[in-house]
Amino acid sequence: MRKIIALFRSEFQKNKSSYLMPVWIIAGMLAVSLIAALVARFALNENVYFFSPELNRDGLRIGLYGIMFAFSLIFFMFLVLTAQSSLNREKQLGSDLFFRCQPVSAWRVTGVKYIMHVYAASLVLAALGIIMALVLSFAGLFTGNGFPVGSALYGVFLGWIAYVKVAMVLGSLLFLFSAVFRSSALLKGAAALGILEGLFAIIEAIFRHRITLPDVFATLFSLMGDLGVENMDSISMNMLLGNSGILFALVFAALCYTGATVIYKMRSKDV
Amino acid sequence: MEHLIEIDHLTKDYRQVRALDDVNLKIPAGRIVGLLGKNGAGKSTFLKCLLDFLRHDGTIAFFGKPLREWKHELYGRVAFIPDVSGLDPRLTVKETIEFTAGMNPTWNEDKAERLFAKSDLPCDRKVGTLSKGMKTKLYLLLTLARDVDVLLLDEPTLGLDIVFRKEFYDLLLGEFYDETKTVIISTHQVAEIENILQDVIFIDKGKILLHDSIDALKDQWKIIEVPRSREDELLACNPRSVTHSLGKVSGLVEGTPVIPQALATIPSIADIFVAVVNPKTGVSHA
Repeated sequence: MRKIIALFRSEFQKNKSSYLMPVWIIAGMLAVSLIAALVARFALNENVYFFSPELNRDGLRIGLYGIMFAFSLIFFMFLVLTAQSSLNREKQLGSDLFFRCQPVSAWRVTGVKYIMHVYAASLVLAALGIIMALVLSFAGLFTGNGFPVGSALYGVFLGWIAYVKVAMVLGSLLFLFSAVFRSSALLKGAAALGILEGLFAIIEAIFRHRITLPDVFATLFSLMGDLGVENMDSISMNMLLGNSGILFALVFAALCYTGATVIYKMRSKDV
Repeated sequence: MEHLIEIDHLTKDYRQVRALDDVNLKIPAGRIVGLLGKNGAGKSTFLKCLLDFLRHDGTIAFFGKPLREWKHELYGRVAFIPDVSGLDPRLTVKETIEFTAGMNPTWNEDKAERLFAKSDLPCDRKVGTLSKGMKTKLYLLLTLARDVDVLLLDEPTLGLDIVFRKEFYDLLLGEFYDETKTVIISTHQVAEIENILQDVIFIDKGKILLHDSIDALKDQWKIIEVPRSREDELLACNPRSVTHSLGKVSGLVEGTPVIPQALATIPSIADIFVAVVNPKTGVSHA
């Protein structure tokens, strides 16, 4: 247990800027929006609603899902940056021998890295969402909508689930790429998928389209299932988790983690 | 004597290049062993094979147990300091200490506190901002506090000034070494560590040329000095290297040849190393 704690702590310490940077960016964007609203309201006498009358139960659920979705885009950019270097950053920095000389199994090392690089930021996102839910629920008090914190938190939870689904599929794939490629894993991995897609198209053409091979990118995105982008008004738990797609996503994530660890172990004999 | 490390027919190829060629060695416990070789002789490859960081042919056993059976537990008893500071530049000194302490069940907290209290390492600074000497010192202190049985050092003081180098080896001898622990130091700066070594291994082009104790080597080799007029007598002893200086000629010879009124002195390990690695090329004029 002591080793696991040490691994988690050092992974956080090594990458803390990438966990906190999205928070600063979002805080900056909110601050700019607030300043713009204040200027519009008081300097330009524009009709600005600080407390929307739609801060009711449904409004908060849908609104906070939308806010979480927007926040997720920023978090996802940092997920891409960190996950693509999960298993090769130490090699790039020349510190891999130090870490490999520690008496701990490769599965534990990659397990901690996988959790920290693919999922840890989602906790920060959740914390940010909870703060937003509380703030907007308090705002409900001023608009005669009571304190609908339950609906607000539900919206945050739905948004968080959508982010975790994306992280589980694309983050896990990037984690695998970080084991396969020693640098620029995102670009090289995307290029590899593109080549695979092209190869499939050539094979289909050779067989005069009598066979149908899967569309690589479409299959990948289908693993994430419905994220409610087009039906945000009716977003619900059932829409996000109520099909077998989540099971495929889980299996895909497990395969990516296992594959990445096997490659990482093989690479440990090639330092 | 029980052998701590046993190596049988160790061979390592990098595509077309043979980096280690059928190495067979037995290293007992409680010795400070110098692994001496020129640049590219195979020293780093040898140490990395010992740590199971490179695929290789042949077998290596630590404490009587083959490498393939050890897995990661080996690193609880064997530590390694590489030639370049391999610490993570993103962590602070304190975070690096905490990480190493958390990972190693053999971490000796009292010893660590004493060692780091005596050092001038700034705990809150990122490792990436430290000088090379400071990084090497941090690496050494982390390793000393782990209480391992075997320490492998790969050119640890390369690029450090004389003060850091002396401090490094003083710490190593004072805080790590006792009769139960083994140190293997790889270097091509032979003279620097000659006085702390008990055994030496000469390696060249992946082959072990010599493995012996310092005492045995110094008994076996002599520098014989005669006037230049008697150079023929010296050459008759088949010296490995010959040096001319101020009316005298000296040669490094194996065994104890009898040349009347010749001056015999004990050679340095550097002299013997050059003679063994480059036989007959050591003719020089001073």
